[in-house]
Amino acid sequence: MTSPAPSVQTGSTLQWHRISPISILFYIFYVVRHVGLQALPGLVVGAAALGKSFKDQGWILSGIVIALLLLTLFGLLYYLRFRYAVAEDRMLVQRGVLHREALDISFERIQNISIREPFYMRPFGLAVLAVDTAGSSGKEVSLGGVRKDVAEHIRHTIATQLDRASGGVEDLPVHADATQQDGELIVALERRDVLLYGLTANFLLWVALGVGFFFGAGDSSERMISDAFNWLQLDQRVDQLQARGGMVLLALVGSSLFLLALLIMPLLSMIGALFRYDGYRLVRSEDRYRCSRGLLSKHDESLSQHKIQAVVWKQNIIARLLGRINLHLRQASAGISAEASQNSGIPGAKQALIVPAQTPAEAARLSAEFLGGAQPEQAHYTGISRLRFTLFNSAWIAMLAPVTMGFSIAAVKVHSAFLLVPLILALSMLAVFYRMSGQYGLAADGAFGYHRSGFIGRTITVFPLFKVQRIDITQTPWQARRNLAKLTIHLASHSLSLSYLPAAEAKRFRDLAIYHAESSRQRWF
Amino acid sequence: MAFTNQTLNPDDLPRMQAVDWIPMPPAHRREIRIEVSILLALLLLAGAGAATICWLAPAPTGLRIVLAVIFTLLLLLWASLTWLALQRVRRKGYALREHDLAFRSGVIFRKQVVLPFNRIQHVEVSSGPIQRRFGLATLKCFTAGGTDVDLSIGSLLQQDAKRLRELVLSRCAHLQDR
Repeated sequence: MTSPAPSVQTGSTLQWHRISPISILFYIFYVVRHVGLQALPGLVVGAAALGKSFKDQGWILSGIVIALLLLTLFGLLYYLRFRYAVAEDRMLVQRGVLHREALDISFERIQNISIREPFYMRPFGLAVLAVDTAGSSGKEVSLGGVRKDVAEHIRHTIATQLDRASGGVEDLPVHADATQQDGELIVALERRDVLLYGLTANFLLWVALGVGFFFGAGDSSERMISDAFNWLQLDQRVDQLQARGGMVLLALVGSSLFLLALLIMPLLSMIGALFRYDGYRLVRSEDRYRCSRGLLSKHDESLSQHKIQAVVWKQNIIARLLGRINLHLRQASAGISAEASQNSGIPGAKQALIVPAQTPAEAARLSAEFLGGAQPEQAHYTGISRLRFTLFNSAWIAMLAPVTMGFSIAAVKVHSAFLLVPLILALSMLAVFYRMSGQYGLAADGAFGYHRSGFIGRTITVFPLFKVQRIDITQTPWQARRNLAKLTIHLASHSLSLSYLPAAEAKRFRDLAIYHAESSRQRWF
Repeated sequence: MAFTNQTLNPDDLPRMQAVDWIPMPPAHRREIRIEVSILLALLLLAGAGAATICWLAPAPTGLRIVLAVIFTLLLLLWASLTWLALQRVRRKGYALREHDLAFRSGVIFRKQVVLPFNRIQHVEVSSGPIQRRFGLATLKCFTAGGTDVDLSIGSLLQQDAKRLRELVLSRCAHLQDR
């Protein structure tokens, strides 16, 4: 079933290899993950609409079957047309069904190498080797379904080539089956930490999913709920409860049901985290970090230290309550807009290497380790003008106008107390802006910059000043009058900005960062 | 190479404020004038068309008034945009230092961009049909991360743009060879 081990070619003739037929499954999952999940709200609405127009449910079923058949056909064709070859210093890939691609990837350009062992490949001893390249023409190539030792071998070839190119280590000791054991252990997570990460990681995603469900699906979700009511015969049960124990018992049951619903979301998130992060180990050997994780499907990623552009401390409200910090190691983004890759919780979007659920002390130690001496916990932040930030953003309160109209009518017709509602809303918005304005901050010490933002949660970005790519200073007329400015720091991974900063501070920070970027001879990329 | 980490006095750092900004060539002003004239011509053409249709097919007075108001507003918008564009030309300027390239622009929203030479990945010189008529070109610089232009200086004289490109490239090479 499996392809023969590709020996590294030295001559001019290249030997082309195929991947294992299991990869058909891999590509189906790939398409489902990338296209399916992002289109999920649309699909739900579409299915609801279809369910309405075609009373016969069989239509939907046959639609799903046809879609699955098409996917399988696509997977099969993709597998049949996929070829790869490994030469001394480059990797060649031919792929594509309708749109054929011939890729020639020289090892020098490779940014990340990762090996995954999905659960359906582990019984066959197969793995997925994923490689992505840097630069504006960033490409990702996955060899889905090569023998594990072959994948390890290719990775080793690439890694040694990279190290040689960077003029660092001459040659790593050759371990044909280099496992995660060699090197210095940096982080090992216990199951408890992984569960904590599950609690803290996807909080906003769950909220977004919930909101999206109710707003996006509209009346179909309503119908589902009423169906569920009918199915459970809730109204009868409510009557029974009331007859037996009165209102108290009813309230008790109702609230416990609500609590149950509240518990399920974090539970799902924790299970997800367990699958993805169980057995997390981060190992350092020379300049290279290797991270292995996963319960059923094993993930194995590696990253060179000099490629880390920034370390981001992420703490949402739950993480703050638990006193944990998730560290994201950001690398140069390959063509994906930085904002999108930063904010999307969508699975499949390129993610940073994450070190989950660290205590503040550990987070500080790790930041110093990853960036060579950064001390985020000792940074003295310069804040922004809280008054101006709050005043300017209070323009958003104008969005409450329609709500206010409605409540004014209610105040006239029913009770004047209704006028309080928009007032309270406006005041709470002001409070939110004021709180946010206090969180923004910028600091610099020695060779590092620190950027802080947040509302209830907190995000701190730690970056070496010499890795700054470009700095912008902008002033609106409103800011210019108050001698304030907006500073935007462009890193290779993403950009950070800070509005309503005193203009003198912004210029000082710019001069400092530019000085470091221009005087440094360290490799930044 | 021994790693050092000396304390820096922020006041001793080279300051961006102290640079002399090199303005855009006078031809850039002419280019802007031609562009806004073309825009005005299109606007007038559309207005004349609408007026002819109204004259041929008797439209209700309300519609005529609305059309006239829209046309006047568009003319006012054109005038203010033209004024802004011409002001912007005066504000635009680039500065070359030993290690970086800076660009400032914007009349209402003022912006300054600084790009160190050793972070530039590639450089592009482009020129559109109107620019070519005046012998002008735009210089675009790209860094790593993201696909959009990091710094776009336009319009320069073609020979200046090319010279600047050579200079930037030689500085990049020089700095990376150190």
